[in-house]
Amino acid sequence: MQKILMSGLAVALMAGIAFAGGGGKIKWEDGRKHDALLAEANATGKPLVLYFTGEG
Amino acid sequence: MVKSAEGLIRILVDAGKDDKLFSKYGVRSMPTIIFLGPDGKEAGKLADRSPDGVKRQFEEIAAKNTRAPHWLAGADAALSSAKSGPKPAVLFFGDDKPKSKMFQNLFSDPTFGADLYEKAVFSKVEFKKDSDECKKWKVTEAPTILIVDPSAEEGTSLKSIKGGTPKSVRKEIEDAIKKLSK
Repeated sequence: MQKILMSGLAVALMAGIAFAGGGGKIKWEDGRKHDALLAEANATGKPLVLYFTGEG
Repeated sequence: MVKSAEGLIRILVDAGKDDKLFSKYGVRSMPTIIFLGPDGKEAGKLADRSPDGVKRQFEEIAAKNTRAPHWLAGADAALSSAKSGPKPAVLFFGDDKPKSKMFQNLFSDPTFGADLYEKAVFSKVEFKKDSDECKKWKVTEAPTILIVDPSAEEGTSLKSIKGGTPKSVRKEIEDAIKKLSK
């Protein structure tokens, strides 16, 4: 699979927004829990946000 | 930002560790943010990357895609809101034990039916044995669902439910809606 890396600035900007955009840091679950979290979303009715990054 | 993200289950997909997920969702560039509905179907991609834009999109996705009632807190809030319908007030007495969480999930089950979210008022009441609210409503165990007619000053309990399926609980709420609409 080919991944097109965006510029370092874009990555940093995005990470800055998503992780520390005011009021503390957002807690993200490990991608390895993806299947279990999908099942949890279906059970609890919560939508999901997937953050694809190379910053983890 | 953190608060607006709480309405979503948040997954960090890391290049090198989670490459299968990049393939699964067809993601070829980083960073990318994708939103999914509770059923796992794509609900959108992050468009506006400004801090305000991210916050707004998180909130919009949660508001549009959450398959659950809009929960109020406490019996009084539910009765007050339900009187204007009048709609039945559905009080969910729960604690932090798995049994309560599992039972609460029935409201998010597709067979429960999202159409009821607007036809009744839903509220969570913290179950504490012998608390004033539990004594008032004669609730002795968690989880318990109480369907209440809000017409009378203090509200009248119509049904107490301690178990069942999404469909059976739905039927009880539908019966209460019919009763109140007469």
